[in-house]
Parts: sequence; structure tokens; C-alpha cells
Amino acid sequence: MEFQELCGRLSVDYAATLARFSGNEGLFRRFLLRFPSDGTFAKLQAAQAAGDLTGMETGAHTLKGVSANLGLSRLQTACDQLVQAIRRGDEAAVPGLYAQVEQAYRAAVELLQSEEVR
Amino acid sequence: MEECRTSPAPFGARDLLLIVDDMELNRAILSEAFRGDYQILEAENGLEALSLINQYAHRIAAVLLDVVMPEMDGFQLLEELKGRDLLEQIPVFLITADCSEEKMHRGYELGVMDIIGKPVVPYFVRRRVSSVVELFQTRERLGRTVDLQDQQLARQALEIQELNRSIIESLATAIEFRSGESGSHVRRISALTDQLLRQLREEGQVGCAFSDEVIDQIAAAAILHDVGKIAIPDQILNKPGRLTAEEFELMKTHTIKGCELLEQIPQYRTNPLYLYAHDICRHHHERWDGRGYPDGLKGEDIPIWAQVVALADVYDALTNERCYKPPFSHQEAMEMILGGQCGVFNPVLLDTFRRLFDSAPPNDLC
Repeated sequence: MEFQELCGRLSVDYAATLARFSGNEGLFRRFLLRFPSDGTFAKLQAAQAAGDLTGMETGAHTLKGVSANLGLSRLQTACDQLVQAIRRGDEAAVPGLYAQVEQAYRAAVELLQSEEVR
Repeated sequence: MEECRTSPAPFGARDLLLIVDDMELNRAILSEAFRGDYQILEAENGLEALSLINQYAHRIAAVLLDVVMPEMDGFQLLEELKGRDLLEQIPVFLITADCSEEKMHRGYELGVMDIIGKPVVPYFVRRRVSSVVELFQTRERLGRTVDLQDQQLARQALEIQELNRSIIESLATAIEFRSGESGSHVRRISALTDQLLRQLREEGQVGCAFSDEVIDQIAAAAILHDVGKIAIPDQILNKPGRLTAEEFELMKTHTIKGCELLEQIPQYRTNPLYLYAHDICRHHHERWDGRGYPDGLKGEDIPIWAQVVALADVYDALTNERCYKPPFSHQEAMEMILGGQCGVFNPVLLDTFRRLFDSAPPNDLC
């Protein structure tokens, strides 16, 4: 699979994200492919399991930053919504929004770890 | 000149950019954006950044600083830098996802130059950083230029002062040559005046709390005390015997002639040296009892600097050979002065004069 095609399937805006890496596609590619080994989601997941809202806020906030840099816009949006909900104390919305984050994360990781990319 | 060539070049001195962020991805994106313009330094937290800043303070052009980090966060680092006055030299940019009003306010209060939201857009970050860096470097360059010019001005002022002094000395020496003397008289009087003023100050005498600068000015002005002798005819000036009453009257005018000469000098009104010289020229033949000339001033009406030069002049005239007399010894000269044979002097001044010679033999003075 071409890198650009992969970006399309991940809903990553190729041109805008490439510009974030100052046009260095090799660097962009390296960081995007390394995303599955990023530990941020694991921290968010652990905080969620422990019912630690503060930990979840921090984790979601960090994950939002990483996904924004990599152009993973669906994950970025889901993380942002979760952070906002926690900040305004809307605990009822947290489980649903967390589920969206998890779904977006797993979809991205699945694609990035597929045989076609390797 | 050698100094100029070996000192570090002012341009290109700040060639480093420090990126402080705990996330490798964020550092990589910023590094990539600035790789062409700077050598990049990276730190994962405030502590690491602080040690790099300490090490490279004079080479870092700007700091791009994340806020939330382990060890020392962005705000703590800012506090440290502010405490060390480093924010005046190195612009710091906060790079943060949290652009809440409260955080931005705190950042600006601590002295950051700009706050840039995450995720960054390299093109805009470069533009914002480069304009501030240019501003800082221009300011630094101008500051350095002004420093250099200040040093140059100070050096030139000193040269002018020395030139001024040497012109005064040449003038006074030329006049002394006319009286068949060597020119060392004016230098001895200047030195003796300097010593006497310092002694008066040290003893805390009333009206004698002179600054070093004022003492220098009076001592230089003392050189001019006889400048009016230029207007006195040779046959009177160099007459070996006693002057007639008429000749003496003419001789006395050297005090007023000196003042007239000084008044022709353009800086007369602004330069304190000439004001002292004016007093000294006019009054260095006045006496404490009012029996001197030309104005017959009495006691405290005679400016203290004119009294000091008068005493120095008399002592030096006595202890050196003149066309009309042989030199007296120090002991003889002291007895003559204290015995009132050279006119009456301020008793406080005479006491100080005696103590000055107690602490330093006259030979060492000049």
C-alpha cells in the first residue's frame, strides 16, 4: 500500500500533516507507523479501568496531542470530546465518549499493523 | 586593534535553538521546522533545559517550551529563567495545547514572548519565532554598539582632558621661561596644592570636603596662577634687584591680566577648572589680614583654593632660587612663613601646612 493511500484510509489529511513535518515524508511515515507502540492509550485505558478521571483527562489530552500531530483526526476529535466532558464534570457522558476513543484508536492501530503496510 | 580581531564575532553568535518537550514526536516536528536555521538542542523537561541554558546562554537564539512536563514544568523553568534575568536575553515561546486565558496570562506575566497553540503549524511557528529572534538580536547588536561608542567617548574625553592639561602646562611653562625659570615651579605648585587640599580634607576642615575630581581641577588650575605675567614687560619680570614702587604696581597687575586672559577662553563659563583658575589668578596674592592685592580681600572672603595656592607659591618661591634671591632651606622657609615675613596666612591653613610636612618631608612632595 502506498503511504498516501494508507493516509487516505486513516482519514489523515496527507498534505496538511506532511506540512507539519516540514515536508519530510520519511519522518512523518516513521512516527505514524510507530504510533501503535505509543504508550499513551495504555495509560488512558488503565486510568479508565481504575475509575481515575484525572488520569483519564491527562491521558486523553496527551493522546489528543499525538493524534493531532499525526493527522489522526477521528481519534483527535474523540479525545477532545472526552477531555471536554471530564472538564465540565459530565461524568454520565464519559463511558460513551471513552468507547469512541477506544474504537478510533483500535481502527487506526489495526490499519497501521496490517500486513499490507509492513 | 588586535583585540577587535580576536573577540568573538557578534553575528551568528546565537546559533542554537532549544526545544523543550517531553514528547519525542513534538520535539521531532519542531526540530524539523528549524533544522535549516539553527543547530537544535533538545530537552525532555525543565531541569534538562536549565542545564543546557546555563551551558549555552550566549549561543541560544530562542527557547520553544512545552508547559506540561515531568521533573520541572514549563512555568517552573520560566520562574528560574526570570530569576536569573535570562528572559531579557533569550526569547521564550510557550508551545501549549492549553491556550486558556488563565494559562496565557500567567505565561505573559512570567515574560514569554509569544504563546503558540498545539498542534503547531511549522510555517507559522517559524515566522513568529524568527521575527522575535531578529528583534532580540538587533537589540543586542545595538546595545553592544552603544557600549562600544560609550567606551570610545570616554576614551576621547580623557584624551581631550589630557590635551587640555598639557596645553595649560605648556602655556604656564612658556611664561616661566620668560622669568628665566625651568618650568618646574608650576608643576611643584600644582603638586603642593594637591597635597594641601587632600590634607585639609583628611583633617575635616570646614569647607574642605572636596571630591577627588574637584581636587584635580584645582591642582590643574593652580598651574595657571601666574598666567597674567605674560603681560608684564621683560625688564620688570627679570629685574635682579628690588622693584621700584611704580614697577611693583605694574607687577601686581599680573593677577588681573591673568583673569582677563582666562575670560577670553570660550569654555570659561562652563568648565569649573577655569572658574577655579580665575579665582586663583586674581587672589593668589591676597593675605588673611587684608593687606594683599589686588582686592585687599580679608579672611574667609578669599576662596580657600586661592589661599592654598598662595601659600604653595610663597613656599616654593622661598625654597627655590630666583633672579633676585638665593634658595632658602625648608627650615628657614617655614620660619619665615610662620613668622609672618611673607604676609599673614589663615592660621588653620598654616597648622595643616605644618602637619603636612610632619607627615611627609618636602622633598617627597613634588
